[in-house]
Formats: sequence, structure tokens, C-alpha cells
Amino acid sequence: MNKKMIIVLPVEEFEGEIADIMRNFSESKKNGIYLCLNKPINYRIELLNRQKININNVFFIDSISGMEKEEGNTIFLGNISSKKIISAIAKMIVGEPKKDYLFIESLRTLEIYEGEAGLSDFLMKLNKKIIENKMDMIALATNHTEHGKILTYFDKVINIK
Amino acid sequence: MVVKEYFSENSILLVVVPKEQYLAKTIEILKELEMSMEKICYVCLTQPYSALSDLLKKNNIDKDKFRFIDVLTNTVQNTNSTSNCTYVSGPSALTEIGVAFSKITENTNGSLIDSITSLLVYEDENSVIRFTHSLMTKTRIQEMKAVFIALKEDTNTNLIKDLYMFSDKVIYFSSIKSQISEIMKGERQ
Repeated sequence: MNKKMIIVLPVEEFEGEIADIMRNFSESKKNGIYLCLNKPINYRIELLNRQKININNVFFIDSISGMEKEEGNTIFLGNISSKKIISAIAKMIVGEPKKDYLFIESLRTLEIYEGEAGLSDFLMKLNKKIIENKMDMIALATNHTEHGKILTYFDKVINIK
Repeated sequence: MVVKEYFSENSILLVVVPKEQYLAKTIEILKELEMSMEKICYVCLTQPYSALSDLLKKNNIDKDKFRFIDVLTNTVQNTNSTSNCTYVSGPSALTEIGVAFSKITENTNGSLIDSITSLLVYEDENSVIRFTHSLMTKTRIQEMKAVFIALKEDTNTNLIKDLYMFSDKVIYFSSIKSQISEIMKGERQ
């Protein structure tokens, strides 16, 4: 059974939670996709390295560094666009090795750029791909905004206060 | 010390100050940046370059260490940019400010954006968040340091909380009134 989980938490806890989740994936040697929405990939890798988290099995999608290219394990998208993100995820999913999970750094950031309806549409399309490919999905969301509508796309909601 | 001690491990600092301490803290930050960096980009969103220039002089801060982006002067009087000050058409011209920022920061070690919450007067919250996110990303890619000042009185908006996700460190200063109340509470206990 694959899981789709949303973790709602204060912004102050984001970095700690990201490190915990990625450490878990790393220790279980799972292959997965990390969607960078808050900080550019180079800086994110530096932060994960500081925490001594092995990222050899992680494939990154960077939507904020402002360039559009593919390099190593990373697809750079140029800007935050849910359409581009869906295409990049689809491309990564079909590639080897099989991806076990998708980690979304911040749904709030996607909402800031795409609006509430855009975020909802993104999750609907993404859900289909996640189910088809038997992947897990974990997404972080801030607790200072409402998430009523999008919670329906997840099997499990965890609230951290 | 306001920001200097945090720069060894962090690139992007968000400093949240109450209005009553805004000027004093801004001057402290300017002095720390002047002492620790060779060239600094100063995006001033609250006062024109001429007023700022006087303020720096009055506080013995070396103006030549700064490259300014003035967003206010051109709203009342057309002024051509100089080697140390770029005048943009107005505070709503976020793309223009972003372009000037990219250009100037090619030759600076750090930047000060003062104050990001003042943009809320001219633009909606999501536009200000996206704009600030882009300045923060540019700062990281250029491997610079940056200080973003925000006024505490504006923290009831989502802006500060959202910017928290993009910053490395958020430094809060409490108002003198709440400092006194904390001391009184401590004495009562």
C-alpha cells in the first residue's frame, strides 16, 4: 500500500522536518524525487550534507534557480510552474532506477506562485501519476494558511504544533 | 551586534524590528555591514537616496562602500542614475528593481533590503513574497550575504511567515514595551 501524506507544521520546524524525512529515506536506501521550491538545489544539497544525509539515491527538480537544463540527477525548470513540474516528475518516473517516493518541500510555495486553484489542479494530476507508479508522496505544508480543499488528495494528515 | 555574528553559518537573514527601533537597528546593521564587507548593495524602499546619504554621513558611515537602488525619487522627479545610485521608476516596478539588483550585486559582497514590508503599501502580498523570494534566490546563487529588514507591525500578514521558509535565520527584536513587561513578569516570579 502506497502512502500519500501531508505534514502540516509551523514554518520554524520546516528545516528540521526536511532533514528527518530525508534521513529516513536515505537510511532505507529508497530512490526518490525531491522537489525544491524554497531554496536552490546547491544550497539544499549543502544543507543536507551538513546534516550528513546521503543523497546518492535522490533525484532533484529545481524550479527556482532560474535556469532550464538537465544536469546529472537534476532537472532545472527555470521557474515555478506546476505544468513544468508535472512534466519533470513524469520524465523522472519513467527513467531508471524506479522511484519509490516524491518529496515536496512546500505546498505553500506552490500556492503562492500558482494560486489555490492551481495547487489543487497540480495535486489532482500528480495523484494520478503517484498511484499509477506505486510511489509514496510526502508533502510539507505551513500551518499559518488553510489547506481544507487539498487535504482530500492525501491519505494521511499529520499536524505538528 | 545585530547581524554580523550570524553570517558565518547563514547567507540570508530576515530581521524583524518594531517601528520604534527601526531607525536605530537599521543604523546598527549598516555599520556592521560597512565594517565587514567591501561593497554592499543597499535597496532602500523607505526613503530617497538624498535623505539616506545625509543619514549615513550623520552616523559616520562610509557612503562609498554602498551601491544604492532608489525606488522613490523618480516618482516625483526624473533623475538619471549615477555610478553609485540606480534610480528605478517606482516601488511598484518590481521587475526593474530585480534587474538593478542583479546588475549591482555582480560587484558587491552583500546587500541590505530595507524594508521589505513597506512594499505592501504598493503591491499585494503574494507579489511581494515572490519578489523577495527571487532576490533571496539571486543572493544564494551569487553566493552573497543579504539582510532583509521587515517591520514587526506587519507580522500579522502571511509575509513574514512565508519569508521564514526562504531565509536561513530570522532575528526578532521585541518592542521596548514588551521588554519592560518581560522584566516585570520575571521580577514578580
